[in-house]
Amino acid sequence: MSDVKFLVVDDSLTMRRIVVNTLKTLSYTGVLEAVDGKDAMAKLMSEGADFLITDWNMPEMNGLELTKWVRSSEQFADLPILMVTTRGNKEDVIDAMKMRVNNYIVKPFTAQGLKEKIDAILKSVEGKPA
Amino acid sequence: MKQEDMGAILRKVEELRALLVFSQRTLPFLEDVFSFVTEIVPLLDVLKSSVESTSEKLPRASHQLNKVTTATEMASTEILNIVEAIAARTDGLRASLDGRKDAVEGLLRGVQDFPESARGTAAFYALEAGLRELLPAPELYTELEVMQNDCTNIMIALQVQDITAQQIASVNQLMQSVDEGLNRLLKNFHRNARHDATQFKHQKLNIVFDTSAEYTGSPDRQRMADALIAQADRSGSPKHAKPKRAAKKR
Repeated sequence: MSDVKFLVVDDSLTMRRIVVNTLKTLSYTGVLEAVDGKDAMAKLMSEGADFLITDWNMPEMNGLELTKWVRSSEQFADLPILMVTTRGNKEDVIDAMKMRVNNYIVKPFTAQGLKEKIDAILKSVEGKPA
Repeated sequence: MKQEDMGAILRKVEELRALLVFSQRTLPFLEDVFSFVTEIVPLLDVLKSSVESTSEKLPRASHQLNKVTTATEMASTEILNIVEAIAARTDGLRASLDGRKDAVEGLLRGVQDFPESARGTAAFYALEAGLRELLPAPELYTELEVMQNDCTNIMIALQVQDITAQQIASVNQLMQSVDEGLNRLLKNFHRNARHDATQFKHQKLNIVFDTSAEYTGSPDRQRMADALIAQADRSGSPKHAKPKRAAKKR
């Protein structure tokens, strides 16, 4: 499980470091970082990833637009996506679900909360035929 | 004088009388208006000065708020540096303890190969007991675990920096709107007073914010999100296949 390659997308350096370090404590060492949706697209195209953790509010291209791009791309359409955002309104969650994020975390999150969501997503995708 | 001329003069006199009556009636009102204007002009001057002063202070306040964001970001970075260093040291300690444990366990296995005659002696038992004492105490591992959890909790708590940065950016935008409104008002007070009224002076940080961002320990919002996700899963979630191994561009 620890060989999963994550791409963490957030415009806040502090948040990226928090997520990356939390992933390391969960024994996930393969982690890439991107500062916004456009940067994430470039990283996905050049280096690839197995799991996308993205913020919503970002300059250039936000997390929802990134999710839309991922889902509409042939190569990454099935990429597991976890949205981690401060947006905690019902309408926001529904909008994210319409874009087919796999799960949704409202900041501030706990290490345990992040672990549970990642485990649940990995379990659900592992259970489906490749 | 003709009779028509007399009639015209009488009509003019009548008009003059009506005008005098009207003036007599409106004069007190005009006096009130004059008195009101006399009183309101200094007040408008005070209001104008107050609006000007507020408008000049808003960009400064905005700048101060941006400095708070920058300072908290720097402080968070420094705290993260320290926490990461502590976490690395605890990892190093754990590795060192593991190494010592492996070495001692190797020695303990080694002494079991001693001849039967030696293994029954008091010296053997003393050696074995001495070696066991060299094994790292389990409490050390527990302590390291606690330290690592503390490091994680400190890191997690630093999310407050991102959330407050968004809140500050939201307040800054409100201040910008207020300042723009005040500048429009000032332009109406004195059209030439501020040529730069439309040129907003606030320094903006490149932060895309959420107005509902809040740092709270309440799980309500997460529960609501979880319930919506669960509901969607029950009613048939979107298809997600097994993650591909770091697929690269074809």
